Amino acid sequence: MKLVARTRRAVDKAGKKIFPDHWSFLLGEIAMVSLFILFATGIVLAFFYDASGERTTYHGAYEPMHGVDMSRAYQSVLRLSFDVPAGLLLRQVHHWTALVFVGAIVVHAVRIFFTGAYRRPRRLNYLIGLTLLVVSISNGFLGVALPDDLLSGTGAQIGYAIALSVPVLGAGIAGVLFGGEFPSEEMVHRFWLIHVFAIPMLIVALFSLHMLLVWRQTHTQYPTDGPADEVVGSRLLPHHAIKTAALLLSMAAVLVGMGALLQINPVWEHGPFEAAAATVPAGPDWYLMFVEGGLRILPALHLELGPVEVPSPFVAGIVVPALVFGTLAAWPFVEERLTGDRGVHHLLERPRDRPGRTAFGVAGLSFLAVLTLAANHDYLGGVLGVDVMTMTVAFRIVLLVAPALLGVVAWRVARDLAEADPAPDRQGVGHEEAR
Amino acid sequence: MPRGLRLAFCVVVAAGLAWFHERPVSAQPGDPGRHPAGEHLYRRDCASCHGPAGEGTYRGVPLTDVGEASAHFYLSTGRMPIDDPYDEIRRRDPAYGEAEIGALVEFVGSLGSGPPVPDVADDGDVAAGGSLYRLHCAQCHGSTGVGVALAAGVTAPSVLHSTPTQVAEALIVGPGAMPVFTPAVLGDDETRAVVAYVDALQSGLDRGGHAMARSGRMDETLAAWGVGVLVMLVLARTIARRR
Repeated sequence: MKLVARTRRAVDKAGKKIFPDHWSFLLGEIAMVSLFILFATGIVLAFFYDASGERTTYHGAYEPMHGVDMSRAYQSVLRLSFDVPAGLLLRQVHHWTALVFVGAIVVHAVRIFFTGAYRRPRRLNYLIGLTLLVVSISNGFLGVALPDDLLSGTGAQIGYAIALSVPVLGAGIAGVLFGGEFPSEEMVHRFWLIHVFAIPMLIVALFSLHMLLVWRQTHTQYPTDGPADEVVGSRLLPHHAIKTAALLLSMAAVLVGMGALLQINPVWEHGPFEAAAATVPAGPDWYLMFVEGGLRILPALHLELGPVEVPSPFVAGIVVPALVFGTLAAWPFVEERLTGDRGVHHLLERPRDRPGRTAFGVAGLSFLAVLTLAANHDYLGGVLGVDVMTMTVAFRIVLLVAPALLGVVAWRVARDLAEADPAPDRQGVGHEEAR
Repeated sequence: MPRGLRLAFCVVVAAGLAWFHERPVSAQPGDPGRHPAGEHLYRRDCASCHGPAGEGTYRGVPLTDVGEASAHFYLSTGRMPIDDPYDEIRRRDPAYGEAEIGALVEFVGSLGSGPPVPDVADDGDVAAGGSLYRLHCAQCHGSTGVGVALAAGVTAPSVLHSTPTQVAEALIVGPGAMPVFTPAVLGDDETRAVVAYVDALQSGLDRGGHAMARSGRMDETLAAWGVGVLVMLVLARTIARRR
């Protein structure tokens, strides 16, 4: 009885926790709900998936594939799609949710960046969130490769080439990750173990820490009319919990709707992976298009530094992503140095209040957007009636010009807006310390 | 067209017609079987580039040995005729009706020794065809058959509008940048299998909802953001609204 009473007291106390109401604070929750749906659908998919590269001959319900030689992994995905009731629906919901999941993390991160929510004392939590993004992208890549179809096999092959391009360590990394020289029968098994065990455990651990820190440090908020040290919003129980439940249910409805109505990744058309075959238009899921775009348009730079060789995929495959995420990770620390502001901040800023940060963010986003578009330059070339080589040159120019141009535009717009509507002066550090 | 040329053209056509009046088509067995309507159309619409006897000019390739398969492929897909030799050769609505195409095809076939229009039985092995399609065709036309732009201004067209006969002809003829698939690469059974698979692609291997534009990741990206993420943002705004 003592335990029950104690639990009740703890729940009561937790339920009184206040969360600010602004809609943009639900962006992270969209990612969280997507994660729940990924777990739920993923567990069912795992019942039917056979993580084996062993060869077999197909004799299932999908007639256009009868008698075709394929891996057991691909066979099990066909079985899941055509023989298991609602199997295809679950697979499609899982894939759509994965795309939305990473999208929600990105939108959430954009909100964090442009409002300065990463400043002290939340720098650690910002880094945890960034790690979650990188880890989620990696898991998306592994998950897409699991059906062992022709399209994703081409992607895995590119991943293998990127791993190989790491100087000195390349062959070792590629060998361990891909289970030997590509294409290896071991690959899907290793990918599967990482996709369903290693990374999900890491995500759960990091996500729990992420939430714990939000809880302990309280959520940031926009300046309110009340005292600066007071969090204004709704209580966790019942108000905020009801919102989260509503989000969960409505998102599940939308994602199941997408899975039911929109075809995604028709692996039975792409066919089983074969080293001699290829398909077009080819590309990774959207969150890795910036890497693919770099591979397509950046000049091939093959270096030989004495005995050490640096093959060309290294720049687009390793250096660019490392620069992107490295810069993002370093940003809170760089900004402190640049502005000299080492204070604790619980109140958010508007993008216009910090034109320099806003310009930097817009430039970075446009850089990534150009690379993402460049990953489709053959398809876009076809639509525009422009030769692929011309598209490559055009994208190189746009990659240099667009970030600078849009950065300057963002800076001027932010400055003009701030002049018209100055920030409230309750952003003072002293006030906020009280919290 | 200059006056002189027009006159010369009329003379040629008239001469041709006169010649035919003397020698009816179905005259003797063993005759190449020149079709008067075919020759008339040829002289009117094709000869100015391909030459009066299909010998070719600087404006158009020789047609002496391309055969009926090639003629039928280019005419029935509307790729020929084109007004200007520099026009893009791409699928259009055919310029002629079925009878006229038949007549032209017969005439072009009679110009030399090329492959005939293939007779495609619809009993190909779809599964074998799928494997062959992915090995030989998907790298340009795509596993979903949608086609893409390749390098150097070359485009692999969609195969989703081609008839079985046109698919078989394309394999024999190798139009544009497409390679010719000789019997050593694709035998009779294999050709029929590929044809059957393309037919299956057209008539519905789609499962799991709308296939969108079939451009794979590009469509999926647009839908993930344009439908998925966007609706989530609207949901967030709606749910967060305070009363």
